[in-house]
Amino acid sequence: MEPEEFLRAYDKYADAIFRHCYFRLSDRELAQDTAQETFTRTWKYIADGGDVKNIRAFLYRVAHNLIIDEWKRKKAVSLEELAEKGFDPKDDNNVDLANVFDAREAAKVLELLDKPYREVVVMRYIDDMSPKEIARILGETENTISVRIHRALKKAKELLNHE
Amino acid sequence: MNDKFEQLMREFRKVNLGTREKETMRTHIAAFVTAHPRAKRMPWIMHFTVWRTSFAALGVFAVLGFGTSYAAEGALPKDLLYPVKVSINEKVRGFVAVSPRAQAAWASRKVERRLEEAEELASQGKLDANVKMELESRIEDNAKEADELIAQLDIEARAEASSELESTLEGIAQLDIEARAEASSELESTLEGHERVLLQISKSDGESASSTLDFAGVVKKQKRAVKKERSRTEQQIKSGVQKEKAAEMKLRAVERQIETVRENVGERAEEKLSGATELVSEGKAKLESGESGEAFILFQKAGREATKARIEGRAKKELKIEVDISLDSDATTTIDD
Repeated sequence: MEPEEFLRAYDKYADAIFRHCYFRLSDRELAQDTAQETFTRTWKYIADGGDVKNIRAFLYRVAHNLIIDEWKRKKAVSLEELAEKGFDPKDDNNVDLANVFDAREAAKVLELLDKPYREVVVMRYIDDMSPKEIARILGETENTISVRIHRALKKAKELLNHE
Repeated sequence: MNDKFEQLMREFRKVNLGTREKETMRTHIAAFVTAHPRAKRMPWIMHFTVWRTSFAALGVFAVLGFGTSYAAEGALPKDLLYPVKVSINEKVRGFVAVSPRAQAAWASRKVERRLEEAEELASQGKLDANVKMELESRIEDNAKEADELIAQLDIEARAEASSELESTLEGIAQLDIEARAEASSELESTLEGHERVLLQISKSDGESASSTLDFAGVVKKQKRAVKKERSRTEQQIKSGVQKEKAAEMKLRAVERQIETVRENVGERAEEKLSGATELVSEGKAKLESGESGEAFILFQKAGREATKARIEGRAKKELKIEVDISLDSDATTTIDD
């Protein structure tokens, strides 16, 4: 992959990778740093002669690994704190009123989900990945992921129902 | 209720980077891409270690002859052959180290070679300000290189994951942490050992005592940074998966290391080695009682003791100085932070 092609991939996937990091780390600044590191590490791998067949899947895999490292490094800032500070999904220069939509309630729902459930909900419903793609990235079987999505969805809906 | 969930997800999908954020990040990434150009692919024949070794060695011998290259190995800064040692011999050896682990180990070894040169010069009272500066700058470069290679071990481990989908990512993450923990532990004890040797030399060396003491301070600073990385990775291992396997592999590695030091240094380092052996026994007991995270950490500690034994032994043999490298020199060192 040439540099120009890689930067085109950045233009195409930067928002999606950032969004993935954001909903799994619950920290906007940290999500930005993680997204940036995802791209630089991926380029380093390519520059060192690594072969990347599917750039989108590779980027999600690197992002996922970095997020796991981050969890291990320190407990992610809790979504409770996010809810207290208010939901701020966009930069000031790009405000979209639609995001004001009851986001605190939503944040609480994600927080209440266990990490394995939360990650499949983010990947399936926010990143719009197929169970097969999720299975590849998480190193699980497609069946395990499908079951997990089903349970996560049930749990999320139960939580919403109790709101 | 379904609508509520779907509505939430629709809203979440609208979350984006701000325009400015996206542009700023793009600028950083473009700069990174420019600073890290793609490596040119070598002809297929060069991928074989044997060929790489032979070509590299032949090149050096063709230019300099075997004798020059060999003689340069003992050169010190300011010697005529020193540039041959650092610019040719070391580059050839770096070229031969193919795997990322071997490259990281060689980068750490280069740091140690600079430290050994500093000790030799200091013990002869020749570590003047200019040489000290040159060595400090080389150590900084070599340490940075080692650091980058150690950090890169995880990228390699993860790259392997692409072809081994049956491995869980947790397992892969664990592998890279182990590699980083081991590499940083080895580098930390090397820096600590040489810091103590330099301190000892500074006590008896009149002419360049203050340069030597300063130099030991620089080494200590490097050690502190590496120690942090080592502690961090060890904590990650304690909380990770597959700790038992990691501890068992580390046990085998440390037993081999102790044996090698014993063969090379012999009685001179027996006391220190008995400390390492005791730590190994303690670790084995932990491993048997299922505390494999603790066991891994004890085996790492034993490895550091063995490294220090090797450095003590070399100082006695080559520099004729007695030095006791305690387990944690931070508690006893005389250098102010």
